[in-house]
Parts: sequence; structure tokens; C-alpha cells
Amino acid sequence: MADATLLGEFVLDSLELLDDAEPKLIELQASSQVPDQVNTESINSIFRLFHSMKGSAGMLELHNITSLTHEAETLLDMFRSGKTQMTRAHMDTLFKAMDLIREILASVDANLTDKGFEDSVSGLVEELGIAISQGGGDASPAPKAKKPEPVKPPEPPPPPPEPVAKPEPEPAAAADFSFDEFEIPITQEMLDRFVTEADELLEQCEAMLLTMEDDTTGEPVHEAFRAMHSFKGNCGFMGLSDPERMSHRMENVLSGVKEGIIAPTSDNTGILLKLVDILRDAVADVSSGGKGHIDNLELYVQLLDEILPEASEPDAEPEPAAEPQAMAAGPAEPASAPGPEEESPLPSMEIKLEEEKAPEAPQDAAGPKAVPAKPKEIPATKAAPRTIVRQDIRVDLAKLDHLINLVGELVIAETMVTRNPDLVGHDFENFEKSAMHLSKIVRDLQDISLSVRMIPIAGVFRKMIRLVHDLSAKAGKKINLTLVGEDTEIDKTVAEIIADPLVHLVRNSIDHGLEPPDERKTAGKEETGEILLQAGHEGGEVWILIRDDGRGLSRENILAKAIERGLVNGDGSDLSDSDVYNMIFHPGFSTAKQVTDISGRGVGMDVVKKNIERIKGHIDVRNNPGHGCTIVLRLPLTMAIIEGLLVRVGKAKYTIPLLAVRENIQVTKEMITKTMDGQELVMVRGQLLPIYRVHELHNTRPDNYKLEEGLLVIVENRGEMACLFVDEILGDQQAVIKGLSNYIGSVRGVSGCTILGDGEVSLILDVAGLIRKAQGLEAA
Amino acid sequence: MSKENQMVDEDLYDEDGEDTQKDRYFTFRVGEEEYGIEIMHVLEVVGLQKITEVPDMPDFVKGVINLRGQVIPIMDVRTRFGMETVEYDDRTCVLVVNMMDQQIGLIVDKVSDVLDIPESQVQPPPKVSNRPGSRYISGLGKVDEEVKILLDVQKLLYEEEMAQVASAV
Repeated sequence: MADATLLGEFVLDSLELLDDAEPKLIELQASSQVPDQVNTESINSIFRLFHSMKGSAGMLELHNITSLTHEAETLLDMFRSGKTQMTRAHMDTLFKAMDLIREILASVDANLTDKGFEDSVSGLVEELGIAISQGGGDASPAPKAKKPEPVKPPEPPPPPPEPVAKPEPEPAAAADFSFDEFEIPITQEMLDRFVTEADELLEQCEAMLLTMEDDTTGEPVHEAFRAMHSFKGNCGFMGLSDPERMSHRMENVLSGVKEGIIAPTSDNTGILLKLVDILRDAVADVSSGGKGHIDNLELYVQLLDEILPEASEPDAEPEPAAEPQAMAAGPAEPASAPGPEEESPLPSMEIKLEEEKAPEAPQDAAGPKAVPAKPKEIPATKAAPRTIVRQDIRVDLAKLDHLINLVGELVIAETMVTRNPDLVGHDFENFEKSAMHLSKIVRDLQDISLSVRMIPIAGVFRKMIRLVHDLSAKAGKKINLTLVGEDTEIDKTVAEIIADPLVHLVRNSIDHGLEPPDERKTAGKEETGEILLQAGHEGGEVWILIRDDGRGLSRENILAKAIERGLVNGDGSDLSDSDVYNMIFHPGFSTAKQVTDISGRGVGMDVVKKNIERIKGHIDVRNNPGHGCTIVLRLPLTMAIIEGLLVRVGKAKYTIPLLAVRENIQVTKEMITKTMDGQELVMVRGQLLPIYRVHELHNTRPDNYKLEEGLLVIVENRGEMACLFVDEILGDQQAVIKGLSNYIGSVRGVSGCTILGDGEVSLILDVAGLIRKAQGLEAA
Repeated sequence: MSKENQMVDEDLYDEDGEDTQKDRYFTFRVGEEEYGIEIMHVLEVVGLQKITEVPDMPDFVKGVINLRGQVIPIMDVRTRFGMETVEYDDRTCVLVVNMMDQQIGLIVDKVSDVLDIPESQVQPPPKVSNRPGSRYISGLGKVDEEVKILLDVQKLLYEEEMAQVASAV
């Protein structure tokens, strides 16, 4: 029925909505504890989340989601109207609902249906129903207790299409209601979202209207009705009275068609289509900052009323009530008044007439009558053709990666052309000019294509809000989470890979770092523990800090554990603090049963480290015993390109990441010392550095075996310096990183490869791995 | 399958795709024998180009090459079969195959032909053999009077590969 792409989009959208809503729900709880400070914006946005999800789910016939979101919506509406105070129990129920929706969404994504969740849904619907029915009373005991006789009968699991239609009148009323109750602060973000969504809904409605005439199944009418209904709800929520009124009438007409009271004649659909266009104009007006004012609204309303038979009218608002509301909503728009006067509302108004009028109407309004009222805004919106411009598009990530790969190849091809060996010795002035131009374009293209993959880290950070909320309750600790630098952009892949490590780290901070409130008091700290998540650019890297003000790491405990596990020879007193702290990353270190005896920091830390290293990042521990601990994740800005130093060893060309390179030196025999186990050392400015021969590590044949005939590249890895012996340095270059094939897997001392200007493949040396490999070889 | 199939006839891809590829084999020569692999695995044939060696690989993995911006590993089929190595010459080719979304180049002495070998003409592989190459054989195909040794690409690429890599590290 509903096709897979629609479902896929729905799942994506819904997940986004959920991600947005969760932090807001937590915010809401914080604010609802203080009376009179109910954060209406948060409530409204969560309400809207459930409402629009319900609408879409209804359209896609995902009945489980529909019934669940409907109940959640009803509950939220009670908070919204102030009938009920939000309690912890309510929150938990709502969270449960969100989790269940996530679960269902996952299944929808995989199986394209939400069947199979009937039991859990009806359970939760019951819970929500209890919370709702208890109204103002204390709801805390209720959600847990599953009463055998539910107050609100759970909807039958695979409900026939009715449930979709049934809940509908309610939210509409609610939307109106909220509008009268209080002014909703509408953010730009909400506005953007409204415009995009409204545009989609109208498009959908239009498409359905067009097929309605020839259709016998009645499905298009349903769809059009639903789209119009959602549109109306959104308008009501945004406080756009004109489009709301009109869409309400259109909805009535559509419902008439649905019930067979009104015939879907081409005349009628013609009117509806025309009005959809007018609604679109109104949305365009909203997107350019207006109030969605519709000229000649009364005329259109009347037109629709004529289509409607008397019988279906009663539930529509009485005319006088609507009038003042429209006026009140658009205080800046007295222009709506001339509407009804201008066109005498003749009952015999024909479509043909209407068709001529409609396109003219906007221009009329821009004319003398409207000018005094709104001289600034109306001309501005009229001047440009009224189109709604979407500011983003969704692109398949694979496509994007392919594009970026191609750009990477273009960079290489460009070098192949401009530094073509055939050009050597020639002086082509015009060619040089064109080549320069080409180079510039290619660089720009590269910059842009790389930036496309960058996303703000906010998405990852915001997930932590929920985590901290849940864990703080579980652990009985009070925690204040601060997020800094949410707008820092990181590569999408990086963002995905650090999500899990962040969860680990934050969990560790809560579980092991932060003390319980009484212990904190004794230690002279605030009862509420602080956790700071901070992101920012630092040099060529992105740094993410996870800081807590808990008890910090204990050197003694870690050391004791390490000695017990045989990781340290002797008593470890010669080890530096950072060496000791880094032991927490040792695989298996955490799985020991006394892990809680150590000051924590162990659960899955080796996995954290592995993940971070997988994306060429580093992880540092900064500890302040008794006062907290900071974990610093240092991540590469992009995973696609590095600055590299190209060196040659025999026939092989290697790329060494420039970040790791300190300097190159040529040595003389006197500078070299050889220990009895064969390790060569070189004295550089009073420092003895080990020399590793790349050809030995990689089993190749070099030109030079004598150190003084080749070159030493001094590299640094996490403060550890070493020299790599190579034959020659060929220069530095931008290297587009490519993975070695999966077939080859990971190679020690090699992090990937890149394609050189001449098409040859050059391995990128992994300095840390190389050093470890060298040390391993020595030990062997 | 890639659209870049150069050696394979265009009409192979007409209408029923997979079906027309059934029983078709791409044959090549290594040493004295002719071998065949199912055509659906073959992407293209390229000339030999500079191979970048990768350390710690089993001896039959010669390294990687750049195939139009894509880095693909190269396996020397001779070494894989335990035959003695020969100097590469201008007839040495790289047969690019695709197996489980993994592209790998096979170095062969010479590419031969695309042949139809119906199932009825294929005999199961000989049961007992200690020759190192024999475990990659999926069957023996008869074409006129000649016999083509049909290879199981999956086994050719992956059989015991892990063990060998592990022992090399």
C-alpha cells in the first residue's frame, strides 16, 4: 500500500522529531517543577511532534503508531491547557512511549509495517489513558499499575481505518484552543519546518485532488482529507488564522466528499485546487515573514460553504466567532476587511468567474486599498513570484561519498595534467594561466564537497541529555549537564563513530566519576555534580572534552590493578601519571570484577579507544584526583584528506602524515650509537632518539643501508619521538586518503593509502603503529 | 556488476541479465593449463601496471594497484597455485573480479576467451589431490577435446586466506 520510500522518509523524519523532542521533554520537567514557569514552547513542540507523527502514521496506515501518538498527544494537551501538572510519572510514561515508537520505527524500517507491536502498544496506550483520565490528580502510582479494566479501552490492535479519522476532531480543537489560551513563541526553526511541511502537505493534497475525479476507491479523498487536516492543525498551531479557517472549510468539503454527500465533480475539485494554490500563496507569505494572510478570505469561505450541504455544517464555527478571531490574529492586517466588500458574495458565483478573480486578487490587494495598511510587506512579497524555496535536500549518503570520491580523483587528475612530465622544460604561458584557473576551481570544489559531509555535533551531544537524565535517576545522583560548542561541525562518519564512545564516557563519568550527593557534601562540593561536554576546533583537529567534577582517577588503584594483572613489572613507581591513566584503555582491564574498587573508568574503555583510533583520533586523560577527570578526544577534522610528507625507500613511496613529522635530519656516523641489542640511537639536540628503518619494518630493499647516506625523519607520536630512516624526501603534498581494500584488512604500520600524481599508489604510514611494530620486533 | 565490462560482450546484458551469463566462463592461461571462472564474477581485464607492495601479506598477495582511482589488491594466481614464479611479460594481465562487493585483481599469464560450457559438460573435480591448487577447483569443463579447469572464485580468494595472513603477521 504505502510504498517503501514514503515509509523510509517517515521513519527518518520521525527519528529526527524524536531526537528533537527528548531534550525538550527533559527541559520541560525541569521547568514544570517551578510553578508558573511552564515552558509553553517546549510543550507545544512536543505536542506538535506527536501530532504530526500521528498524521503521517495515519496516512501510512501505521495503526500502532497512530494510536500511541494519539494518546500521548491527548496527555500532552492536558499539560498544555494547564489542566494537569506534569509529574515524573508522566514523563516516564512519555519516554516509554517514545522508546516504543523508536522500536516500532526500527521495525517499520526493516519490515515496512508496524504490525507485531499490538500488545506493547495497547499496554502503553492503557497507561497513557490512565494518566489522562486521572486528570489533575497525582498520576504517579497509576502508570505502573496495569489495571485489568482500562479506563479507556485500548484500541483493537489492527484497527480498521477508523482510528485515523476518529482522533482527528480533537487535536484540531486543541490547536484552536491553545491559540486562544496563550501566545506561542514561534521560533524561526519552527517556522521553517512549518513551511516545508505545509508545502509538502499541499502538494500531496493537490496530487490527490487531481486523481480524485476518476477514482472509485475513495483513497485519494482520504489522503487529501488527511493532508488538509494536518495542514489545518499546523496552521492552528502556528496561529495562522486565515489559512486555518480556509483549510477548515476545505476539510469539511473533503469530508463531505468522503461521505458521499458531495460529488467530486470537476467543478468542485476545480475550486479546491484553486484554493490549494491560494493556501500555497499564504504559506509563501508566512515563509517571507508574513502572517499567512489571505485576501478575500470571506469570499472563498463562502464559496466553500455553498458546496457544503446544510447538514454537514453544524460543527463548523459559527460565523461571528470566526470573524473577530481573524481580526485579532492579524492586527497588522486590516486589509482583510476590504475583502468581503469588494466582491459581493453572490450565491451564484461561478467557478469560471472565480478562476479569473483568483489570480487577480493578490494584485488587487497590492493596489491602493492595501497600501496604506501594509506598505512595506505586501509589495515585497508580491514582487517576487510566490514560490516556496526549500533550503535543504536529502541526499543518499552513498551518492555523496561517490561524489567526494570523484572529486578526490579530480584532484589527482588535475595534478597529473598540470604537472605532466611532458611539460617539463617548456614554457607555455597560456597553458599555465589555464592550469592555474583549473587548480583554483578544483581546490574550491574540494573544499565544498568536503564541507558537505560536515554536520554539527549537536545531534550527538543532544542524545546525551536523555542519557544523563535516565542515568541520574537510576544512580540517584543529581547531575547538571552543560553542552558547549554544539555547532562545531564534524565529519558525518566521525559523528557516527564517536556516538558510542561518548555514551561510554558519559556513563562512566556518572557511574564512577561523580559521587553520590552526601559524599559530595562531605567533600565540600555542591550536591549537584557537573558534567561538561565541550566541542571545538583546536589546530587541525576537533577536540571533544568530557569533564566531570567527581572524584577523579586514583593512580594507586589503577596501578594495583595493573600489577595484579601483570601489565606492570615491578611496583610501577617509575611510571608517569599519564602512563598509569592510559592503562584504563587496556583491553580487559575493565572486565575484572573489582572494577568498582578502582575509581571506575574501565567499562569498555578499550572499545572507546579503538573506535577513536579507527578514525585516526587520539584520546587523552587529564586527571585531577578528588576534583574530577577530563577525557579529551582529539579527532581529525576530516577523514578524507591529510597533509603528507612523501618519502622514498627503495622503489616504494610512502606518505607520512605531516602532523606527525617534526623535522628531517641528515646524520653523521658520530651521532649514532648502537646498543648491544642492535637498537640504533641518534643524539639530536641532547635527546637520544631511537632509529627505525622503514625498509626493515616493511621488508623492502632500500637504496642505502648506511644511515649517513639516507635521511632521518623525526616523527612524534603522543610525545614519543622516533626517527624513521628513509632514502629520500620527495616533498609534501595533499593526500586523499583511501582505504586499503577490505580483502587486505588492516596492516600494522599502515593506515591507508593515497594515489600520487603519477597514478601510483603510496602507502600512508601510521607512525604510532610503526613504532609499536618496531618495538614489538625488538622484543621478539 | 559493473558497467565497465570491456571484454564481455554488450549483448550479454540484454534483457534477462543473469540468465545469459549462466554457463559462460572466462578462460585464461596460467602455466600449461587453461582455467575458467564464471563470467558473472569478471569485471574487466587491464594490463599490468606498477604494483605497490603492502607489508605483512601472504606471498600471493602482491600488493595494490590504482584502478581509475580505486585501490584494489592484486593476487598472483601462480603463487596461489604454488607454481614457480615467472617474469611478467607483455601478455601478463590483471583479471579484475568481483566477489561479495570486493574487487580483486588476479595476475594471469594470458587471457583467452569467453566460452559456453553447459553443465552437462562439467565433471566434478577429482577427489584426491595433494596439489596446492586443487582445492580451488569447482569442476572440469570439456570443450571439444580440451579440458578447462573451472575455478571457484570464492575459494580462490578466501580459502585459508585468513590463516595465511595471520601467520604472516
